[in-house]
Amino acid sequence: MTGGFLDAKGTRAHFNDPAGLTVDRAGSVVVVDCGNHTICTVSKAGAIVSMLAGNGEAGSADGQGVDATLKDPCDVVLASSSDLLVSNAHVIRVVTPGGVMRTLAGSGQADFVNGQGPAACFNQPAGLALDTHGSLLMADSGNHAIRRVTMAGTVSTVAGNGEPGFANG
Amino acid sequence: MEGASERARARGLEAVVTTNTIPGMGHPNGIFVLADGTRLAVTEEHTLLQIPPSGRLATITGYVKKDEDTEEDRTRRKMRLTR
Repeated sequence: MTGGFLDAKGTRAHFNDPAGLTVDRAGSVVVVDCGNHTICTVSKAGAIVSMLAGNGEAGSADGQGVDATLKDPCDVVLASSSDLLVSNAHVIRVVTPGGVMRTLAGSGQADFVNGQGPAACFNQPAGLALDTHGSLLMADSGNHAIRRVTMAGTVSTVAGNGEPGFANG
Repeated sequence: MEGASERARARGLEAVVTTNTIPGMGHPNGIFVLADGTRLAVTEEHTLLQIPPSGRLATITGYVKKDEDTEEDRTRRKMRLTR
């Protein structure tokens, strides 16, 4: 299969290993383009693909649009605030509708630590969902755990102790 | 001897799994369901697909070389969800 990196219309646009998606308040599809380290939007009308955040280079810089960088982003959900929450290399990033990216939680180092904002650690955060209170639930795949992240950046563990296994409890 | 994990597994097998036959689906990585039941999926074939309740699949964006697609992707029983 052919991956690539090209903003365009319809099948002329190229993704590289798209991993997750959601739909924003405007009805555009938001795609996590993992292999290109970017977040793209696909317009409701005409299927125009354009970049929201990231520039194709792997990194961890916060910033606006192409000034921000991501590394192997995995999934995205739409928060009640209309911001997008993105699972990235050991951190959770927030992207505003205007494309400004910041880090909500995670130090960037792979570890298993609860705490506030950058004091918390994840290990390969993957699938995302929102709970009924508007907090983020995340599959912390490398830690074999489900973690909760509030919109204020407080991280706790819902289930799992860091060890692989298959037991209810 | 049956361990705790095996006992837990046996009690958990309550889900019913069905398969949508969608030729050309390829290898989905992520899925999102719209309010009208339309499913959107991104795939390892670098495409964004739309699958309405009718099941007729359409490619919204992304590019895939048709001649590199595999028969296995298109066969119901062999279709697999992989990363």
